[in-house]
Amino acid sequence: MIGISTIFFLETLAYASTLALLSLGLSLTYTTTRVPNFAHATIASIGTYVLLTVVGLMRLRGLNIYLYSIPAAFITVGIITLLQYVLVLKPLADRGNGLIGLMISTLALDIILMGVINIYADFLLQTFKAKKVKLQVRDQPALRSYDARIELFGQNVNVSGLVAFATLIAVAILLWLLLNKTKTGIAMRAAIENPALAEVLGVNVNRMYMLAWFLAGGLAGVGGVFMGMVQKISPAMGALLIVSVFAGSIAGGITSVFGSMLGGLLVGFAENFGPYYSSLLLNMDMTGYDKMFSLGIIVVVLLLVPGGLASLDLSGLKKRLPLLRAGGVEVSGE
Amino acid sequence: MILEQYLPIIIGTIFYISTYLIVTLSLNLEAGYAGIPDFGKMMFVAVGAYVTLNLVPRVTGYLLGVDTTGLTDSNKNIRIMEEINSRLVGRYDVAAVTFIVSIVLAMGVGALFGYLASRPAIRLRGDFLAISLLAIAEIVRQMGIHTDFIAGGEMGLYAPNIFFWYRHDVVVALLSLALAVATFLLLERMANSPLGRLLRAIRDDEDAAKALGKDVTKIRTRIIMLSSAIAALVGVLAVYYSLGGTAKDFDRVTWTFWPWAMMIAGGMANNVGVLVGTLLIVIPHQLIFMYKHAIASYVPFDPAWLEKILVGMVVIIILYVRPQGLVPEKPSRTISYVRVRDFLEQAEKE
Amino acid sequence: MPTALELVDVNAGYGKLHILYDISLEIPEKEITVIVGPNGSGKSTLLKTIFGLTTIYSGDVIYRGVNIAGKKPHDIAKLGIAYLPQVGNVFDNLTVEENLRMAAHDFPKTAAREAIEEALEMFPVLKAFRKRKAKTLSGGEKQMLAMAMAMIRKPDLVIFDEPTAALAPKIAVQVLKEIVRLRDEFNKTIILVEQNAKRALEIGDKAVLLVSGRIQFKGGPKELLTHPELSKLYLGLK
Ligand SMILES: Nc1ncnc2c1ncn2[C@@H]1O[C@H](COP(=O)(O)OP(=O)(O)OP(=O)(O)O)[C@@H](O)[C@H]1O
Ligand SMILES: [Mg+2]
Repeated sequence: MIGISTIFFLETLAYASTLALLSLGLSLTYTTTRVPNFAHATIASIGTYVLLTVVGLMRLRGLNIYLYSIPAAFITVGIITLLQYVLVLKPLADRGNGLIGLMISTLALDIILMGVINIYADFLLQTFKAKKVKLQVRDQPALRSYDARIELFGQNVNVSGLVAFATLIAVAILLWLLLNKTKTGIAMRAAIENPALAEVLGVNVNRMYMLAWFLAGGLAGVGGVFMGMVQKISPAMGALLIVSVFAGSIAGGITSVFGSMLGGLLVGFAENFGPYYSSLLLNMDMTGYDKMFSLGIIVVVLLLVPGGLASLDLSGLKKRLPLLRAGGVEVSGE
Repeated sequence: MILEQYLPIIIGTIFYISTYLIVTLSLNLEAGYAGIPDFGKMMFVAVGAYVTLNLVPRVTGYLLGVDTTGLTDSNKNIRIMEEINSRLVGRYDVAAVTFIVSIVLAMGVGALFGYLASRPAIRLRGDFLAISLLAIAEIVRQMGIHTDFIAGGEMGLYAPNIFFWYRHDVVVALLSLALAVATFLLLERMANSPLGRLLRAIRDDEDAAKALGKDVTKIRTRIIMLSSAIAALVGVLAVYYSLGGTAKDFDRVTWTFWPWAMMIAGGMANNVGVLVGTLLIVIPHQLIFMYKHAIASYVPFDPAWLEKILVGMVVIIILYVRPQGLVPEKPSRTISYVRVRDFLEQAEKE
Repeated sequence: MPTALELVDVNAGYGKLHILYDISLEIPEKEITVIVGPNGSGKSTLLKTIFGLTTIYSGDVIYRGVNIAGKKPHDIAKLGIAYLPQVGNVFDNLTVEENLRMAAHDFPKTAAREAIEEALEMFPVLKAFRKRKAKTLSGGEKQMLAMAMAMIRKPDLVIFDEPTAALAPKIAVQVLKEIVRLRDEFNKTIILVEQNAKRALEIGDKAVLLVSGRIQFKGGPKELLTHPELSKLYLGLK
C-alpha cells in the first residue's frame, strides 16, 4: 500500500482484527438483551491481563504465547461476561429495570472491573517481583519483543497481525456455521428475533442468551490478547477503546453481528491510516487524533444511516458474500 | 487547633457536596425528568473548566494589561499567571468582571456543546444517544490531554486567583454551596411547573406527545443545553477552587458515573432524592479519603480501588433492591394518554 | 368428556397491571373451545396465561392433573401444548425450513426430519417455499407455516389466537377447516380465540365469553349465538 510500511500495516491489521472481535461480541450481546454493554472494552482488557499473567509466569515466547493465552483468555473472560449477564443484567431486568437502569449497571460494572483489574495488577506485580519476572503491570509496553517473527516481503516482522487476522477469519467462519448450520445456532437466532415464540416452541431462551454472552466475552478476551501484543498495557486501556468498539458496532449496524465485524475492521483501519494519510495531506502532525476518526464514523453513520452498513441494501452483494447474509441475527436497525 | 486540623476537610466536603449536587441535579433534569441518558456528563463539566483555564485569563490579562500570548504553553503559563495574580490583588473590579465572564462564557459554551453533542443521536433511541454522548465525552477528554492548545495538555494550566481577599478555597466552597441551593430551588420549581410535567409526559409516552404535535426533539435539545450549561458552572468552580486544572481531572468515573450513582441511589426524578444520594456518596468518599492511610494498613492495596468497587456495587444493589431509588419519584407517574393531552394543552396555553 | 385443562380462580396480568379476574374454566378433551369477547377484553392474555407468559397472582392452571401455573413457557411447551400467538407467530428472518427445524429443535435428528416431512404433508403449500425467508410469505402462507410449526410438536392441546385475522375470507374459511380437521382426524384438543364470533362458534363445541377480564358466559355455542342480550351486546349479532 502507498507509503505504508509492512510493519505498520500488520500492526494495524492486529488492531483492526481486535476491534472486529470486540464489535462483533458487543453486537451479539446487544441483540439478546438490547442493552449496550459499556463494560465490554474493560472486559477485553481482562484478556490482556490474562496474556500478561500467562506470558510472565510461564515465561512464554513466540507462538506458544498464542497457544496458551488465547484459550485461557477466552474461557476466563467468557465466564466473567457470562456472570455479568447471570448475576447482574438478568436479575435487574427481571426486577423491572428499564433501559437506563440496565445501561447504568454496565457502567457500574465497568468501574468495578477497573478496580478489580487494578488490584489484580498490584497482586501480579508482587508475584512478578517474587519470581523475578521482568514485566511491568502498569504502563507495560506492548509485548512485541516476545512475539514470533517471520519473513514477509523481505522484512522480518512480528506474527501478531497475521495471527489476529487469521483468528478473526476462523471465528467468523465458525460463528457463521454455528448460527446457520446447527440446531443451537438456529435456536439462538430464533431466540434473538422473537424470544416469546422461541419459548413457546420449547427453547430455553435464557440459556441461549447465556451462550451468547459467554461467546461475546470469550471473543473479547481473545481480542484482549492481541491488544497486549501491539498496545501499551495498562488497567485503563479499556476506557478509550470503548469508543472504537462502539464505532465499529454502529458502523456495521449494531444489531448485525457480521456487519459489526466489518465495522470493527473499518474503524481499526480508519484510526491508524486516517491520521497517517491526513498528516501527509494536511502537512501537519495528526497523530493523537486517531479517535477523531472513529467519532467521525459514529457521527456520520448515526446522522445518515442509523442502521449502519447492514441496513444498506446489499442485495446484489449479498448473493456473493454469504457472510453478510448470515445476519438472520440482524433484526434490521431501527 | 482541632478546627484548624479539620478545616480543609470540612471545606472540601462542602465543596464536593455542593458541586456534585449541582451536576447531579442537572443530570436529574435530563435523565430523571426528561429520560435523556446523558452518559457524557463529564464533558460539560470539562468544557466549563477549559473555558476558565483558556479563555477567561485572556480577558483578565487584557484588563490588567498583561500579555497573554502563549497562555496554553505550560512553560509560559506559569509566568503569565504569576503576573496576572500579582496585578490582580486589590483590583475588585477586574475580579468581578473575570468571574462574571467565566460564568457567562462557561454556560454559553456548555450549552453549545450540549447542542452539538446531542445532534447525532437526539432523534434516535435512547441507547444510541447514550453511546454517542459517552463517545464524544471521551474524545473531548482525550483532546484536552493530547493537545496543548485546549487546556495545556498533560501539565494543565493555572487560573487567576480572583478571590485574593480571603482564603480562595473557603470562598469557592461557600459560593458553590450558594449556587447549589439556587440550582436546587430553580430545578425544583421547574419540576413542579407545567414544563416539568410535560417532560415527564414525554418521557413516559413519547409517541403520545409526538402525536399531539409536540416537537419532542426540540424540547429535549433545550433540556440538554440547559443542563449542560449548569454542569459547566461546576467546571468553573473546580478551577477556581484549585486555581488551575488539567483535562485529566474530568474523567468518566468522577464526573459521569458518580453523578449517575448519586441520582440512582437517591431516586430519579426527585430532587430531594438527588440530595440524599449526593450526601450518601460524597460523605463516605471524604471519610475514605481522610482515613486512607488507616484503611491502607488493613487492605493490601490502594483503597481508591476498593472505593470504585464499592460504589459500583452499591449502584447495582440499589438497582436490584429499589429500582426507584431511596426516595422514589412522587406519584402522578402513570400518565394516561388523556392526561398527557391535558398537560400539553395546558402547557400550550402558558 | 374428560377435562384436558382446567383454570381455577386465576388472577393474572402484566407486572402490576391486573387484567384477568377470577377465571375458572374447563377445557374438554378433543373438543374445540371458542373464546370470544370485545377487543381488549383479555382473550390473548388468557391464552398467554395458560402458557406462562404473564404474571399469575393467584389460582391454578391444571393440565392433566399437573399444576403448570408459574412454570416457564419452554417447560410448558414440552408437555404437549402448542400455542400460536396472535402476532409474531413465525420467525421472519428464518427460512421456512429453519422455522420448521426450530419447531423440532429438541427432537432427535431423524424424528425431527420425519416430523418436518409430516407437517409439510399436512400443509403442502409450504413445500414450494422451503428456502424462502418467512417474511416474504403472504399472510395466509405464514398462518399455514405457524400451524405446521405447532403440529410438528405433536401436541395434544393446540391454542390458536385469532388464526384468521387479516386473511382473505376464502383463506380464513380454509384455516378454520384445517382446525376442524385437527379435531376430527387428529383428535386434538383445541382452544380457539376468534374475532369473527359467528364463524368460530359454528365450528365450536363449547363457548366462553370474556368481558373486561371476567367470564360473562360459559356454555354451548348455540346458546351464546342465540342469547338475546349477549349476542347483541358483545358479538355484534342482531
Ligand atoms: N404486554 C402487555 N403489557 C401490558 N399490557 C398489555 C400487554 N398486552 C396486552 N395488554 C393489555 O391487556 C388488556 C387485554 O389485552 P388482550 O391482548 O388480552 O386483549 P384481547 O381480548 O386479546 O384483544 P384483541 O381482540 O384486540 O386481540 C388490554 O388492555 C391491553 O392493553
Ligand atoms: Mg388478542
